[in-house]
Amino acid sequence: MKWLLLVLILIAPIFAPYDPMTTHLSEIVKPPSVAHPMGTDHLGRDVWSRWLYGGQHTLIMTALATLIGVGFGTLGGLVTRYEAFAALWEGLMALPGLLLSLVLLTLLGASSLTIAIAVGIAQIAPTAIYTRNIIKQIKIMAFVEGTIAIGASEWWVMTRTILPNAWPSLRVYAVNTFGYCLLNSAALAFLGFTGQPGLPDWGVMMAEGNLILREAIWVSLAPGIAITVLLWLVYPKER
Amino acid sequence: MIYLFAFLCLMLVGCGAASTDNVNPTEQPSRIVYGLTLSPSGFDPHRNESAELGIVMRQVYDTLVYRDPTNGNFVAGLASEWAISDDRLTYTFKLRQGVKFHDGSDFDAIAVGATLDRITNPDTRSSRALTLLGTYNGYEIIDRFTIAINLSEPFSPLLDSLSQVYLGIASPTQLARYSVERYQYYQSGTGPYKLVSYVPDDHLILERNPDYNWGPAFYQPAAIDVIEYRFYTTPATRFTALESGEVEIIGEIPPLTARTETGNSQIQIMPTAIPGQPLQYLINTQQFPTDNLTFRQALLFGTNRRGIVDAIFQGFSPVAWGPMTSNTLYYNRAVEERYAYDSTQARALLASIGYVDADDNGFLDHEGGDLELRVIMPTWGSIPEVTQLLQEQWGDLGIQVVIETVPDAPTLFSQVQEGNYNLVAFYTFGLDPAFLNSYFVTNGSRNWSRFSDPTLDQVLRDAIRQLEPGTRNNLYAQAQQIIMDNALIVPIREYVNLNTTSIQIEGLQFDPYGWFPLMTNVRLRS
Amino acid sequence: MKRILFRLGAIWFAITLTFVMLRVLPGDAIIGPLIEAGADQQTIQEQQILLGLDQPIWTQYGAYLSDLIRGDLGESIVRGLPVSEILRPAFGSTVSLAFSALIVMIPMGITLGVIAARDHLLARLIIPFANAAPIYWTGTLVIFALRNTSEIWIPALLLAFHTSGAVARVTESSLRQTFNTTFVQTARAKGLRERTILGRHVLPMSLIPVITVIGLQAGFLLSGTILVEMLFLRPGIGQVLVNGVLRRDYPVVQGAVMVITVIYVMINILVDLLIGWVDPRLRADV
Repeated sequence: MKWLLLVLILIAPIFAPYDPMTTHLSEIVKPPSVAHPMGTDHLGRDVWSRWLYGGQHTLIMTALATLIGVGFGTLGGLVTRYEAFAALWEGLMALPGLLLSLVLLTLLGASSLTIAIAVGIAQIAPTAIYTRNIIKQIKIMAFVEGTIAIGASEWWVMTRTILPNAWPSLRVYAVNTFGYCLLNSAALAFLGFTGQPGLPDWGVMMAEGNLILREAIWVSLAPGIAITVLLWLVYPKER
Repeated sequence: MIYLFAFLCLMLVGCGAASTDNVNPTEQPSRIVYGLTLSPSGFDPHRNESAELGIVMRQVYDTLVYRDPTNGNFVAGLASEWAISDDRLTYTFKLRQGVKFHDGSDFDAIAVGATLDRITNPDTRSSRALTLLGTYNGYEIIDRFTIAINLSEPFSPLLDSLSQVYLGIASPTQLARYSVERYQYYQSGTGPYKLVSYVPDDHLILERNPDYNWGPAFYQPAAIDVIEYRFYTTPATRFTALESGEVEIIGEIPPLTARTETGNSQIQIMPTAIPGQPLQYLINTQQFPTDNLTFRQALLFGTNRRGIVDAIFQGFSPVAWGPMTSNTLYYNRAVEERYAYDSTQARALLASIGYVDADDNGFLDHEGGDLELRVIMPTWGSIPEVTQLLQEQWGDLGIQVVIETVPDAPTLFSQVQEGNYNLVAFYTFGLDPAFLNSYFVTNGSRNWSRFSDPTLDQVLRDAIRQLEPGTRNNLYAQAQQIIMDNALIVPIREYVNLNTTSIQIEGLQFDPYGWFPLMTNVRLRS
Repeated sequence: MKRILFRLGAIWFAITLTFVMLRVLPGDAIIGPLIEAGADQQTIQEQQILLGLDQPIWTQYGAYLSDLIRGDLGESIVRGLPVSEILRPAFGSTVSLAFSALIVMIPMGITLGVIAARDHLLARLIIPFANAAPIYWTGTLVIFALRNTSEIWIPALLLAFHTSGAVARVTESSLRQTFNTTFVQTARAKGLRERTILGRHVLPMSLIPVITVIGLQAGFLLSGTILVEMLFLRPGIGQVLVNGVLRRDYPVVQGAVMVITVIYVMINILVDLLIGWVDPRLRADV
């Protein structure tokens, strides 16, 4: 069900009736109709088509950000055996993630790619700390101590014993991080970091829609509901 | 139970934050809230540069001269009369007597001198005020109510500068009492309103100055006792604040809102044109392909400004044709329709300099790739929307537009310094076209067209030395002509501030600079 | 002792990173207002020298650290006032918002968690929504619906609602785990009422992860308030940080980061202590 939805979002653009970027200045903020099932926005673009394209873009970029955050974060967690490095992660963790992204984007210039990178980088420290704690917990378990006792190499212990045991927790963690990345990149759009103007993205659409809420609430509702439902379905259920 | 406790706590915090009102119990004071649209970094007119600070501080300070809002002519302010020497280097001002600062001290020539000293002191780090003083070279106090301002070279915009709030006269005793930085919280001028409090990013409160009777002729006796200013930086909250009665006056309503609320009987929409530069894109004449005049002209012909103005500004802004707006002094009508939208002409011009789309991919070719333009785009104002439409319009001509977004002014300036851009959006406001010099004189600090032409330099330099309006008019007509002949900018629209007030407000009027309201003339309808 | 050194190291790293990051950004605090005002290149250079912005970064860093050790956060380049004077009201505003949110969030989160653990449909709907919906989106809708931006309880409730989702989720899962342990089954076997079991036995046992997540959410509250403050136009630390970066007011951003880091570290210590107090077995680890 979950996977079907993701695939649907990825292939959605093929159902788009209009080009998501092309403006139609005579069709500004038209309410939903047969021609435009989700209405049009402040530049006369078809919200339905933008919404379909936006899902794909949002999903890919958020996945990339998650990959950066969780990938480098896990690596960082694996290599920080020393307290000094742990202090480094703790220090990064204490910085507000939004500030880190904001500074990175000012430095790199805002494009879809740099936004994904900036959002991903902000997730590295929390992931590293989380990984480190998980590994600590696994290490004190009896079977790991056993493998060390029989003289297994450090690499072997790490890859064959610890990682497989840490994997389920890390997977849940990654899904949560996906959620944070999605919310954070939308937050950056809200603060004005939207990347290439006109690009369809749910976060950007929401930020644009918020500016014309009074005249065209549908522009903000469509991506807002989409993000909420997507995260609702994706977040792991506590059972 | 826990919830009840939590809500009580919330209420307490809420009440604590809101109890800033100072209500006079004996009579009902009239009070309005004015919504500002930007929270500037400071409100010291001598140090800071924003228009927002002027909206507030115009009420706190008087200036030596004023511009009459009906015809723009200079009229007496704190100076009752003035004379300019024949060499145009000395301006002598006879000052009004019996004027008192809000702190109770007397206004005289020493006060004018103290203000000038403060602005020119490097430790003040003045931005706009110092620039407005131009070739200022000291002053001389002739007697208690006569002061002469000396210039090192003739600088005709001086009176225009002295009529602006950035050169408002401050109380020397108050200036001496506080440090340069702290003065802004305790400002003391001679204006119709006194500053009561300023809490950064939160609010300012002004109170009527009951002694005020030395204002210019067009100031009526003030009727509103207390004005509170609050910040509505998010455009979407502005109309909501007006509609819910949180504010009585607010500027910069989104054009779409202004359009849909035009019939609303509870509000009044007052579009106010601001003189100065239009929303414009400066074209880099040193960078391929915009180094070619024909190419630049093709861009101008290929720009459908009417379409942009109608869509994004909902028709509230006039289309702009030249480097200054039609309500700026010495505007030259000859620039109008010069580059009226004509995509056929644009295509023909591009073809005439050899651009073709041989690979038929929709874009003109250049060295095996597509013809590209790099545009530096700030994210404020409506620039992103406008740039997007330009991207589409120029894309139709076969030009690929690459947009470089910059989130803030420091980034914009350092990108511009690197020089590898074709267009950059930037503009400033002002009534006297003296602002053109920093943009179009060869070594001007904002010469981002990187254009150098001895005639233009000469004309613009001469224009700020000449006093006679007829002479200046001719010089500026020539300058506007040269700028558009060389297609140095893509002007889009004239700036219009969409002020909106509740139906209770009447008499709201703005000075010739457009941004600054005459709050003395505002009345509350009974 | 080792823990303290560790935490001090973390603070040092955070402020050093901030210091370097800010100075790598293009432009500085001087150039913005001056170009805006049309000043010439010479004036810009004079003012840069006046403020020491032309000095090499390590000289500036040395001066910054030595001031910091003496307890001096420096002066704002833009406003000219001591940084502490700018941060005090801003933090006051943010903390009052975050605290108002916190005192609503904790009971709200735990209640939702308890209801959810009993499979109540309402909680099943509310909790995922609180977690999934973007806060500035719901915030904008709330402003639009209530036509009000000025009262603190609106942003406070909004923040509380969104942060309570995580607390509720952890409470729920922790409760479920505890319900399945043998001593609860023993209690049931003894014939105790469900309510007593929940209140006396299960809830206290389940509190440890809840405290941890509340600590984490307290940190999130601080960054969540940044967005909410921007949206509800409140003059808090969010405005100070964002404007500080946009205007390149280095000392103000550094000061704010310093305070945020210290608060973060203190919350962590507090969480450690609380956990040790709830479950003495874990005390040795602190």
